[in-house]
Amino acid sequence: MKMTKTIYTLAEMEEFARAVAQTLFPGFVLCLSGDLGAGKTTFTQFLGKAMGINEVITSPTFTILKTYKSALDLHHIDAYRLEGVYQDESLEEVIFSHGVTVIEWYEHLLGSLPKDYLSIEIETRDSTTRVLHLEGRGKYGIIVNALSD
Amino acid sequence: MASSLMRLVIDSATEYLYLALYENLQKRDSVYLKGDNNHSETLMVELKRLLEQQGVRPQNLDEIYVGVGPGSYTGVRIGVVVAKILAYSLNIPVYTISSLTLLASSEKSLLIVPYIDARRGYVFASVMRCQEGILTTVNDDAYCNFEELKATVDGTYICAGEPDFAVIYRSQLFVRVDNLHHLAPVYLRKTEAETNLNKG
Ligand SMILES: Nc1ncnc2c1ncn2[C@@H]1O[C@H](COP(=O)(O)OP(=O)(O)OP(=O)(O)O)[C@@H](O)[C@H]1O
Ligand SMILES: [Mg+2]
Repeated sequence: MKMTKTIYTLAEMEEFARAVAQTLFPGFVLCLSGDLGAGKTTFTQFLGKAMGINEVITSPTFTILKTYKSALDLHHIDAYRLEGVYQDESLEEVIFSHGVTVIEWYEHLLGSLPKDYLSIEIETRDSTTRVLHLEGRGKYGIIVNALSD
Repeated sequence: MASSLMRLVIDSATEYLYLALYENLQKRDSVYLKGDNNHSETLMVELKRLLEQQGVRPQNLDEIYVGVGPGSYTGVRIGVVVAKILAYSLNIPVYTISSLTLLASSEKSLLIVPYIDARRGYVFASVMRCQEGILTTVNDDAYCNFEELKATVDGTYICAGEPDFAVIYRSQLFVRVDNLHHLAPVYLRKTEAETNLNKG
């Protein structure tokens, strides 16, 4: 299941993140892609806020993983520095755990992903306009459906 | 009274954290706690509590037995590191046990298949026989497809259960570590990562 959605402002991005937060379940895996500065971390910050996380979410580019405690834990992975790694067992255990995992630059970790996941490619059009390309594999198909209206 | 040996058993390779204190083959107390990738947070706290409640100080320990996997990549390392540090600082021997064998010791049926989820339809598993309280290995620890395993081996499949160290001990299913530097977790899955790498 695929869907494209255009976001015109930062506020709309927050609204979209709130809609995604409504669909989360334990073990949810969300893969984000898009150029540097596309808004992957920004989206994750909005998602965390919608999940009730008050802590400031920062880009884990250097630590690779940061976990935020919540009703559903949020595991935020930035795989930017893992180019060519393909698979990492310790991260894989986080990805397959009961929390919600958001992975920026997931293309670098394809060998550690589950069969089903939601992916969002954020395409930059101008300073605040973003085109989101959503794809829901397997059980995430209905989520893309739900987000399209 | 040096004839009594105080033994600490640690296994953090599965979803459950297992800690046990044995005096010879008599269990003094144990912890078998379900975790969620957080054995690193709980192990030291539980270990301290276990020892304190039994009035045992680390210096009273004579031997350490540690589960070395296969199992959780991050989990197993924590138990191994703690065993290493304790053995080194107390200058006492460490013995390794397969985490699957520990799992098997919780079960009393004739043919036991302990298994640990390795994701994407794969498991770590072995096949053990249990007769008169003695466990023997039928098939060594392996990384295998769960459906194929179930189709080929008919036994009692178990993925959780508190280990019975006395069974392990009587079955002599442990190995003494001669050189602490060589104490390391068992990662059967490495082969798969390498296979993927070779595929390019
Ligand atoms: N509609 C929008 N959605 C998301 N971010 C936006 C939007 N409009 C403007 N921005 C700005 O774009 C920037 C996105 O940066 P961000 O760090 O989130 O990118 P990133 O995709 O995580 O980059 P990196 O690959 O470096 O991690 C922020 O400064 C944000 O305020
Ligand atoms: Mg980022």
